[in-house]
Amino acid sequence: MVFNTGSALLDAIVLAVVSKEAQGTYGYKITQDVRSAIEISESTLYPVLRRLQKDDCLEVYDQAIDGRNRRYYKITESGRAQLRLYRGEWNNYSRKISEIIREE
Amino acid sequence: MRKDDFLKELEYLLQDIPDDEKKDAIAYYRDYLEEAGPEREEEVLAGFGSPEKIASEIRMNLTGNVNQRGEFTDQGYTDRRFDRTFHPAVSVPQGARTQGAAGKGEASHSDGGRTDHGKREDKRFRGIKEFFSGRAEDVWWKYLLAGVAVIVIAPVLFSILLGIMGSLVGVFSLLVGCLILLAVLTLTAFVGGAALLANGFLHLFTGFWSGVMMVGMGMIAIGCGFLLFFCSYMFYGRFLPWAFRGIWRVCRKAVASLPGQVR
Repeated sequence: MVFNTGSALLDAIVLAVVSKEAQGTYGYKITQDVRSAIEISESTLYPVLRRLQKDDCLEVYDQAIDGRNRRYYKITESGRAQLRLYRGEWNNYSRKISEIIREE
Repeated sequence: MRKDDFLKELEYLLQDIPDDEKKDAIAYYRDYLEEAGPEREEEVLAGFGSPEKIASEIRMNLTGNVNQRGEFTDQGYTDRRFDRTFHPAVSVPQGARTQGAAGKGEASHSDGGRTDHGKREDKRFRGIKEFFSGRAEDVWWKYLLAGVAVIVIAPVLFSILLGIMGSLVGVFSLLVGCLILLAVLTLTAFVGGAALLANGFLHLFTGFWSGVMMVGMGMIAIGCGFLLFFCSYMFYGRFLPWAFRGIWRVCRKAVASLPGQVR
């Protein structure tokens, strides 16, 4: 991809993807969802998820699926607050950029 | 590399990080590979890259000052201190991050140290500055460390400096010696040539041909004198100043570019 995705935008994308699942979602699915929008490698998200988890934006719980544990990530209240902030900033930012860059 | 080999290798590489961090990471990657299923396993492992790369990403994230050093983007871990093409566009969401973190700090004050991500970004070298200005807290061991470093490094540095100075003095004396030698040679050529010339003119009256030979030799000697004088002038008057100017310019450029390299 031509444009870089900075860490704040990547956080915003991950928070948005996780927030769409009320019951939470798991690493593989998050990665595939994010990959539908931007090019990231399969390994990119673990550090991001771990950091968001440490920052209290995400919480994790394990659930047994097919005889093994699957780790679910769920957005927390402060994660939601952070996402709201990102969303506002992003709307503002992307609108301005689109206006400037738009073809006449 | 198969899944189990990959996980075993990763576990080996992460053996020095805290246990829960290691378990969490291994569980995540195992989970991920199982989720991908056997048919995507090869592809996913190829996407992971080497276990070493994954391990270093995890380690990097663990050091805690991700916001100080670098960040995880869609390109993986990038450290902007080494990134010459810094895009200011990124700093808009970065600012958002600062506010967000500050807002979050009010909600949950569990980790007050994390409330100034953005500010810390600008103070990357604060630690180093404090180290040298001595404003950091509990610095006695740093002074001790610095003292030991001085004791260890000083003799080495001293001998290197002495060597450089010795070489400089040597080169300088060589140049001066050559200059004196050249001056003596030139003077000899001139004086000898003049003497031969005068003698030759006198001999023209007694024995004509021997006089002519002496005049010729005198002229050759004077010519040699001029040649030597010209060579010395070219070397000491033109070449050396030019060479010193060149060396000086190179040194100044190197010194001027030093702070840039540090940054």
